[in-house]
Amino acid sequence: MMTEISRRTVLAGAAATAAAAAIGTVSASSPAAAAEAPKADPMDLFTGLSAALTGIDAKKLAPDVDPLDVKSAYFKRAREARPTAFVQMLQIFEKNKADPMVGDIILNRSGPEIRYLARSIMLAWYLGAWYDPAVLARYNSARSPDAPVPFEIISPDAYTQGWVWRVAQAHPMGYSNLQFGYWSMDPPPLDAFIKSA
Amino acid sequence: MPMKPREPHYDAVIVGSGVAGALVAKQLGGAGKKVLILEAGAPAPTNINAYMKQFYSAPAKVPESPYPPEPFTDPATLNAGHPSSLTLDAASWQNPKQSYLIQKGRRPFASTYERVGGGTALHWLGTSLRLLPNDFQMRSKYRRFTDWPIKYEDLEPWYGKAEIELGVSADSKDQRYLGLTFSKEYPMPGIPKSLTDMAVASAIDGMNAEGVVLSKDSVKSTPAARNSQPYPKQNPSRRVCAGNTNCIPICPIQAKYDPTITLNEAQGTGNVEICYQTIASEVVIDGAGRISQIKYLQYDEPTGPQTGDGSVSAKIFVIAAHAIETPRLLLMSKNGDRTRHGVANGSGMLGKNLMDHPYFVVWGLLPKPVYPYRGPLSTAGIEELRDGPFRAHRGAYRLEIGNEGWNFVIGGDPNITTVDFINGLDGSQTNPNKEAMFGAKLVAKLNDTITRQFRLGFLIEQAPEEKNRVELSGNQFDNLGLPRPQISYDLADYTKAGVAAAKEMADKIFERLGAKPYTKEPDKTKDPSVFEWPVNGKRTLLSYLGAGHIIGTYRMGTTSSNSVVDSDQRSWDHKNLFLIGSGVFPTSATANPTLTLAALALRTADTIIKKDLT
Repeated sequence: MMTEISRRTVLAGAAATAAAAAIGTVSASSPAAAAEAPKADPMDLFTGLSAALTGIDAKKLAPDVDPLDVKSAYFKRAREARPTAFVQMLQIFEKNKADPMVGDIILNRSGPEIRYLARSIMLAWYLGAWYDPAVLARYNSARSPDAPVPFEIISPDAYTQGWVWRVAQAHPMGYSNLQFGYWSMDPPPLDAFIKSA
Repeated sequence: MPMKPREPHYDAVIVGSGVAGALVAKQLGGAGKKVLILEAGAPAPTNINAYMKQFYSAPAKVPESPYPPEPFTDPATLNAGHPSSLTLDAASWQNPKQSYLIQKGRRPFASTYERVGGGTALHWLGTSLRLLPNDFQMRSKYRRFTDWPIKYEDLEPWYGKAEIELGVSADSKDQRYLGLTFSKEYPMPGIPKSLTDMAVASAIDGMNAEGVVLSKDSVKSTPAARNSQPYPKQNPSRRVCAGNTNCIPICPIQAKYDPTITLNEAQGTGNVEICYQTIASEVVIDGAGRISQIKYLQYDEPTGPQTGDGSVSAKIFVIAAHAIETPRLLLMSKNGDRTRHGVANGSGMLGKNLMDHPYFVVWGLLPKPVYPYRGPLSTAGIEELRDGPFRAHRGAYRLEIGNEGWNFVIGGDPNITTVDFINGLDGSQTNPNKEAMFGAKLVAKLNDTITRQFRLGFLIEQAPEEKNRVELSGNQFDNLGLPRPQISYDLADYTKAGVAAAKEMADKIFERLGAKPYTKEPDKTKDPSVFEWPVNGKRTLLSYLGAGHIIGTYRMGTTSSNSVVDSDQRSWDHKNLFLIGSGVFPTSATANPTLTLAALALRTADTIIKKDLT
């Protein structure tokens, strides 16, 4: 029988510890950020923020039973890429999370550092790939190169957990749990893929 | 460390462990003959997850992505180099530091191959069409090119056997078109059509094309070496297709046939041995003109030093290294100076008539969702336009309907479209206002766009031309010091006219579908395949991709002067040498070549058992 110390609790605890440690690292070099470190569980803030940006339910992004735990990989990747902006972004989300325009506040009213970091996080959830914020900024300027934006796959699990496939009512190429012949019928409705029950 | 051959002498030595080599090995092994296979590449991993991990991690999921070696390795440092889909753009196709093939032609040869245990059919689609009766008789029927030295009826029983060996799913009643006959049913029922297939079928109903009135039934489920039900005749672990939409580059559950299945069966006979990382370097002839041995080189690491060499003798030799590496090996085999122009080249035709099926693609958005990125990569096509009187003056084509949306046609979707709507770009051309979205609006936009994506591909019949050929590079070598293949390639007017006809057909189908076209106008500065040709009387820029079908270069024929091998795939010059695979095709036709080369391999194995190794 499961006790209070469930796998979920342990994972969430581990993630929170990692997050606290990370923010602690930031605080050493950035006292201002440390002084205003988010009060809520940083991972909860991260998944809430991710849900607002991606349009996919937080419980779908980070389910109670989450053995693949891509959220921790994305959290770590984003935090390591832009330590200061990452903390600021969580703070802004915490402060505005009840506002239906919170996504707009983060993407369009918090400056380019936070905008492009937020887009990197969205792309991580959608594609399991890391598009560096500076690269996204460069490919979104007047001198944008005429070529696909370079990226790297975060991990094999990140690829197979990409949300764009579900948003397309499909499955990742090379990763189907469906049955023979399913392709000759309509898929389940979109909400079945992206909304929690 | 690669194994050395256990014996000094075998009944048969086979170079290459792909479809053709594996099938001959299995047949000979099953008849009690001692067989050695020399494979240039590494063995397949014991667990396919090693390949899958590599695939999942690869940013560019090209056909070569799951397999060694690492992409972008300088081909001069590789022991078993091979071409890559990533080195076909204007900047790299003629750069020997990037392109393994030394391309000297006017346009790129755009198909690639693997050098790995199981060969290129690790990344094939699985399409298993038969050639049409008229495909064997282009000279007799259309006064074009040459006839094959065999007819459809000669190959028909062997097609049936090949369909069993590969495990093909199809309904033969659907396949009785353009003169095709069947003496037995396919071993498994057909693969269901996709929603895209059904949309195209509705659209073409009643459409007139080249004098043929198409109907809904003209969109036919494609025969495919893909399990539509359990197929216990083969490895029972080979599962029923779950629609992973990933046949190319790799089926994660081996629902699609690949030659490692046959290699396992071959080794199960107890008579077949395989040496991996072992590169045949010279075919040696004796004073009587028979092949006496094959010399080989071995290596441990893809870019490491040579670690061994040796030679092995046999009663018969079979080269099954496809239409580029087979002529390369034979041209390298100079026997001192006794075969200065290569082994098996008395006709002077070795390496000539290199062909592909230049692949023309169009893409667009349909008015309603068809839910792509589901099911096998392709489940149906239009076959009725593969033959007709027009073949007297232009190439025929086969139309293949894709189930993978815009995945490869725009360089890796759904990534491109997703980045467009998150970062405010327009790489897909579906976001001309360069809006950046988030939340529910982003979800709705991506869903609406991606679920309506579709693409059509046309495999064009390519005219054989002697000037399209494989030679040896005089100054570019691989890590073992062996000359790399030098390629000359272009499209004949006959072939270009086939591409143009495909474009006209595509435009008509788009109109009937109510589809919005998004096919990009080819850019000559980026794409070396671009050419100009009239479409509906108007000069139009057209381009092509490679179909992965490497054809020609050691054609079969009726005499030692018009061909390299006879109808048994036996060298005219050396009676104990067989050159097998799609290299023997005198003409390309339009069917994906694997089933035909498999049927020919089984036929040749039978000949070897009955006539050569009695």
